[in-house]
Amino acid sequence: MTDTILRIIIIIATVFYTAAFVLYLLKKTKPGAVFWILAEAGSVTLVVNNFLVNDYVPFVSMYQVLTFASALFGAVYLYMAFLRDGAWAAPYVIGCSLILSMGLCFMDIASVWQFPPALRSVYFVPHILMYVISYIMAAAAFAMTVTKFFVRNDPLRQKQLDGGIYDCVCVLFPFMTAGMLCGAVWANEVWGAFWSWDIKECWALVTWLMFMTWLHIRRSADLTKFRDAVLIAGFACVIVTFFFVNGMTASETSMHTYN
Amino acid sequence: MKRRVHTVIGLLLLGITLFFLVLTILFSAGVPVNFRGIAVTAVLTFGGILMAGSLVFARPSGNLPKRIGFYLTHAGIVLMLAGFALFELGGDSVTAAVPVSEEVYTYYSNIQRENGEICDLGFNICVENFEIERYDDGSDRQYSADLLFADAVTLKVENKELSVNHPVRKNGWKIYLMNHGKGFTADGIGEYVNLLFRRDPGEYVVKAGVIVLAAGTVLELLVGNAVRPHKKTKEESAHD
Repeated sequence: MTDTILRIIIIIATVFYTAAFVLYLLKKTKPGAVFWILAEAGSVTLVVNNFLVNDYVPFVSMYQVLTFASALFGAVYLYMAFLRDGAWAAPYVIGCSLILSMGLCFMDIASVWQFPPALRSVYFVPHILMYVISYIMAAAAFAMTVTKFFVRNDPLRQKQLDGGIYDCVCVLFPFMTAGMLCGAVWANEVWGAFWSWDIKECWALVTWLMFMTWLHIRRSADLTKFRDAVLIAGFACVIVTFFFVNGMTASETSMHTYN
Repeated sequence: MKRRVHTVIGLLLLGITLFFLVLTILFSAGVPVNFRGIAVTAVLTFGGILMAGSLVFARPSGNLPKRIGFYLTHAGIVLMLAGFALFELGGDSVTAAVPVSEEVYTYYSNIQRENGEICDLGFNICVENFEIERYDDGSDRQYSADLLFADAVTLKVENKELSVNHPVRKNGWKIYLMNHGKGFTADGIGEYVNLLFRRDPGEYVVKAGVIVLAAGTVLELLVGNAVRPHKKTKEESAHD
């Protein structure tokens, strides 16, 4: 497919995600679901196209990783609706897909990373895949946490959101742990050390510690007031680790910077 | 009492996380932070004791996968910390720029460390050949080196191929191909490869910890929650 056709698909998917999001907020779930399915079909088409173009997993540029993440939010909904009794979570996952899809409209489709020798490893795909899954669950949990501030006077809604956040973290944390450990084993094969205290690794560890702390403090009634703040800080760390680490001063000596 | 324990653990972890966050922000801004030194003294001792204590004294609640998962998660961290400690106690790591042999094969068995000490590898190594696979734009795609190991007593020669992401093992050492270059070497001006020689007695302990920790989080949070899903109360259903 040409870049023009891909751009048109991205824009149509974004419009459909917007329509689905608005319709779900207005409680018009059936027409909302139609627009959502059409938008998801667009996202999945983009992922399949990336796969065919690469003849490899669709993770060879930031655009491709974010396209995959945008489509994967549909799976988050299936998990919430069918395994966690959380069909109410639809607007949250649609909202997350929408934000990513809007971002895709402005991204360079054609540019791809050329993998240097260090990235050519069997650990690359599981490492990225597990982190993408954990990050999209973090985004869904973050959206629910922020919503809690707007429904402060509705204890039932708060309880429902708390349950949804916990369900998201229960998926997020094992995948984040596995992604980090997979990275450590990979590092031991390529750089000769499980851990190097590199800037990217430090931020990934802080992110993991944040969610680990969240899981522990949710068991203490005395620390309830810190719970939402820790989750929001955890998601902020996700954003820093994923988007901003490579621009920081210390990244000049980072082993995770590939030019 | 149990409530107080959860509060203390929560506050402790919150403090550790925020402390590490501050260090990471300082590090990101270019301030030199000795993470390794802090980790060796604090994490390996204090963290190990805390984790081991949680295994002995904690009484995890919930269904069977959750309880098993709890023990595996914490045991996994203890194993990983023990593995890291083993490297600190008995491990070794040394790098060397080894010239690529041209006409005459040159073997090396001693490597000079940065502090001037000589490290005896216990075997003789020679880089017989070095090849670079490139992309169309000329950047490196993969590089590999043919290594020769000669036994000083039997004179038997063994050949192993080394490439990035595929280290080779020899006499308890693991050898890594880090990068390559051209310049002054022990043999004059020529092509060389940078090799890392690492001896890690804790490697398999860390790897066991990795598997146990990953399995623990999956059991405790994924399987444990799938066994008994959260059911809506009548009030919640009415609210929807």
